[in-house]
Amino acid sequence: MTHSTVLKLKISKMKKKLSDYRWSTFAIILSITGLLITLGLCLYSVTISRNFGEVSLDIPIAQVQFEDPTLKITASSSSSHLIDSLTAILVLTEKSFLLSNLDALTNADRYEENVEIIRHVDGEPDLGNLKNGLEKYKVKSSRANGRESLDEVLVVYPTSALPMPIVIQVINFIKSSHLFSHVVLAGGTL
Amino acid sequence: MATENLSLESSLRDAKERLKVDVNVFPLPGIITAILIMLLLNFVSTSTNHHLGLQADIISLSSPQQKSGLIWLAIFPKEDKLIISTDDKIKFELPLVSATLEDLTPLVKYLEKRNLEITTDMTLSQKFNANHTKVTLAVDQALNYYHFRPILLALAKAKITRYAFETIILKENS
Repeated sequence: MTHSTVLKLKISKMKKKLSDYRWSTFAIILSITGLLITLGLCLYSVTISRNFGEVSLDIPIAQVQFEDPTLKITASSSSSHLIDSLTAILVLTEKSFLLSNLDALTNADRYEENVEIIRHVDGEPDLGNLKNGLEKYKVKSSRANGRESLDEVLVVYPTSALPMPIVIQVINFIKSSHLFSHVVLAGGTL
Repeated sequence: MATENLSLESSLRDAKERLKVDVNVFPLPGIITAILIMLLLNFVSTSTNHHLGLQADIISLSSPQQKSGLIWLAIFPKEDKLIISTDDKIKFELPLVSATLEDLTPLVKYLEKRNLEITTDMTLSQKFNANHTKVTLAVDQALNYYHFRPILLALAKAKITRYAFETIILKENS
C-alpha cells in the first residue's frame, strides 16, 4: 500500500466520522419497517382464509341423450335426482314461507290443501317452524307419492325484494338441517 | 484545561467545516427503498390472497369451512353499478337495475374460459376434484335477490353447476 493510498483511506474515514450525513440510517430504518409491514401482510393473507366459510348450492342440468357415431352407441347422462312437478319448493316472501310442490303451487284446486304457510315472527323467518314444516312435508310427500328418494331436492324461490343475507341464512339453515341433499335457488327470468 | 478543550473543539469544528462534503444524493437511497417496499406491498396485496382488500361486506354465519373452489367472485354495488371483481383482479360492471343478457356476455365468456382452463388442467393432470369448478361468490349484504339473479343466469349460461356463497365463520365462543 502506497503512502497516498493510506492517506486517502484515512481522509475518507475522517470524512465519514465527521460528517452529519445520516441517510444510511434513514434508509435502513425505512427498509426494516417496510419489510416488517410486508411480512405482517403476508402472514395475515396466509391465515385469513381460515375465517371464511361457504353455503353451497347446485344449478340443475338437463338430462340429454347423445349419440356417438364412431362407436354406434347412444348414451345418456345419468342423474340421481330429478326435478319435476312433484319436487319440493319453498317460496320465501317478506311475510311467510310457502312450502309445497310445483304442481300444487300452480294449481288453484290443489293449492289450499297442499300448500303449507309458515309465517315469519316479527318480520324474521321462523326457522324452528320451518324445520318442523320441512320434516312433515317430507313424510307427507313420501306417503302420498311413494318417492322419498326423489325428495332430496328442494327448490328455493325467494321474492325479488328480499335482502341477500336473509336468503343465504335460510339456505344455510336448510343445508345444516340435512333434510335435503341438494338445494337449488330458482332464478326466474330477467 | 478548559482552554485546551476549547481549542480542541474549535480545531475539530474547523476540520469538520473544511472536510464537509455537499451530498446531493441524499434522498435517493430513501426513494429507492420506498419504491421497492411499495412494489413488494403491491405484489403481496394483489397476488397472495384475493380476500385482501375485499370490498364486499359479506355475512357472518356458522357455516362449514370453505373448500377449494378455484373461481371466486366478489359482488358489490357501487353507485348505480353492480361490480363483479374476480380473484385475478378483473372487474366487470353491470347496471344495478335491469341488466340484460348482452350486459352479461363478458362475464359469461370469462367464466367459460376459466372453467375450460380448470377442466383442461384436471384432465392433463388426471386428478379430478369437483370442488375446483365450483364458483365462490362473496355477495355484499346491501344487495337484494333481484340484483343477484343476473349472476345466477350468467353461471348457468357458463355451464357451471356448483356455486357457493362465501361467509365469515361466526365463532360461537367469542
